[in-house]
Amino acid sequence: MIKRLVIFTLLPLMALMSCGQDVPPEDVYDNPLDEDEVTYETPALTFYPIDISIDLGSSQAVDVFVLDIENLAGSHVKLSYDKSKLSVLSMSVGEFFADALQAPVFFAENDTETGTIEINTSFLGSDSVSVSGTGSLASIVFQLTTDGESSLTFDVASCEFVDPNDNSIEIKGFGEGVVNAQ
Amino acid sequence: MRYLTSLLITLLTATIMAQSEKPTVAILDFEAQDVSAAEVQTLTERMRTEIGNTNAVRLIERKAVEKIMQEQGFQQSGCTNDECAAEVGQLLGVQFMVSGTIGKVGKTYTIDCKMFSVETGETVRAKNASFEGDISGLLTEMQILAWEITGLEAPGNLKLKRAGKDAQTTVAVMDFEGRGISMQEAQTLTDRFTTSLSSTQKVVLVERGTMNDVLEEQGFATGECASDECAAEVGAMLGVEFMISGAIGKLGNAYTIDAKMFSVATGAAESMKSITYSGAVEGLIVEIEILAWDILGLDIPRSLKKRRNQGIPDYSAASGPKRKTKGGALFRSLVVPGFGQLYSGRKMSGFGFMLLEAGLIGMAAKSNSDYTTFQSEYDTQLANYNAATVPAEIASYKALVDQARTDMNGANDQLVLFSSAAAGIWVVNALHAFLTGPTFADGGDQGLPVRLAYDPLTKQTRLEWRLNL
Repeated sequence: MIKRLVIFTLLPLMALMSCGQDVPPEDVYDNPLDEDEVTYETPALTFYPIDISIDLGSSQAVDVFVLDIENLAGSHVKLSYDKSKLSVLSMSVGEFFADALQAPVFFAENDTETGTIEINTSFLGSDSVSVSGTGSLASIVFQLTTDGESSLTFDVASCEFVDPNDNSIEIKGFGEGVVNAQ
Repeated sequence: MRYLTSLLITLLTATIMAQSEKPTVAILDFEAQDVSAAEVQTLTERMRTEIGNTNAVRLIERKAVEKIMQEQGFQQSGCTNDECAAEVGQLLGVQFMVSGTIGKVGKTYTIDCKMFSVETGETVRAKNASFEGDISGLLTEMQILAWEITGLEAPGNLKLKRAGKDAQTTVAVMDFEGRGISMQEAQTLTDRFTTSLSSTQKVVLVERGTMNDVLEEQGFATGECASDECAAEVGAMLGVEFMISGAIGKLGNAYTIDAKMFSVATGAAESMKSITYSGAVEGLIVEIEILAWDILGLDIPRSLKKRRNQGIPDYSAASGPKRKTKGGALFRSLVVPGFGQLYSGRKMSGFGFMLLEAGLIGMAAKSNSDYTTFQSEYDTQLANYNAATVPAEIASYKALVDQARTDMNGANDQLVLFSSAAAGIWVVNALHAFLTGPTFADGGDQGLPVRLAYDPLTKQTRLEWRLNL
């Protein structure tokens, strides 16, 4: 009798009482390009995506983004990666400078011995060409060679932004990319 | 010499006819078509033997027929037409001749035979049979035809043999004699006995109708054929191996059942059983069923033993409408809101609770559906947000994600509200069903044990309570 009562009554009642859903929390925003949500100040340098998942042997494009910059005419970015786990397949200029009136000079160098990449982008001449806002400076295609987690980090001391007058622009924040082997 | 022999046979036949009023018959070997002559001869011989068993005719021996035919220069197998047969019949001095054909069509054997008058040439009776199987099966068919061609019904054992049930014992049950109980009661109990006997699947039973026909033919009214001699005679006519007869008597509150199964051929009792039973009549039925197994020497099924041990259920306890209780109302309302009230005869509140509960559950389901829709929107916009790289798009998607989350919150709040209300109403309905209980008119409990009432005599409001002792 009690068993039937439980089955027929308490279970439906409990089902009714536990009908509430789990509404997602508000702090779900983790887009590294969302200036309102990032933990560092701007102007800043970051990777996009910031959490990179790659299968062993496959490749993934990672963009180097500059956030909330004003009058950027030239940049020098140096970053390092774990050379034991990643290899660089290609590097290309990002879209940030593509919208400008003048094509930029883009030069990127990958030092496989040290696992560092240096990217130089600038507008030549004295036309006061510059870009502002948020955009991709360069796109780098990595290939995962060994299982494991590694990181992409900017060399804070070596990174430099300048305006058309060659004045240095302070970079206040740096994001750090995390590479996970799936 | 030839004429002398014919004269002697004719005189002999005439003498036989004079001795008995039974018609004289001679059987010619059947014509064979696609069947060997030897086999047909054997089959015809089987008919001759069986036709003799009918005791309905006087049969002229095969040898006499052969002799006449030899004298006339016929071969039996050659005398196939009616004229020849009639001529032979006249020489034999018989009244009727039986001739026929046994053929084969595909896998089916066919037998056609007829009896015709020698004097007029008129066909008196014609019968046919078909049989599929081994030719040996025609032996039974010929036996059956032997009865049918003489205008008699074939015995039950032959029919059973034809049906392939000859391996089982054939039994006929006489209606048990009733002593102290009515004939109808005795017949009812006999029927139950017969049914149980049949359920053993160890015997083949002759139907009551067939037996009654035989009894009627013998001029017995129902219940008159009670002696063993009569039963044996009926059994012989039915062609069964065993007969079962018995008596059911009532002495005070006790019932006695005596049953005997005896061989029709020898008259010897195969099995005799006696039961004395005291108790309700329903129990007697179980005893009768057990007797059917017992008389055949079979193990009584466990189900029957169980029924015997359990005795007769007390129907008096279950008689009349079942009393409605508060517990019943509570249970029903717990299972289906409002059902307890309907059970208690409170249709208004019953349907009210049902509709309210259905409405609330429906609203909760709608809220849940809305929540699912908003969640899908939320997931889509969050994915867009994570994929966006332009600040304006990021802000736009972020706003959409926020909106979807707000909608989800709203839907969830409604879901919780309606489901909680549904659960609450469920509980309230159960309490209501229990406290109000079945209405007094339904013979249920008499409402709340405590009540507040206005007494017009004292002009006071009174609190009354009731304590059932």
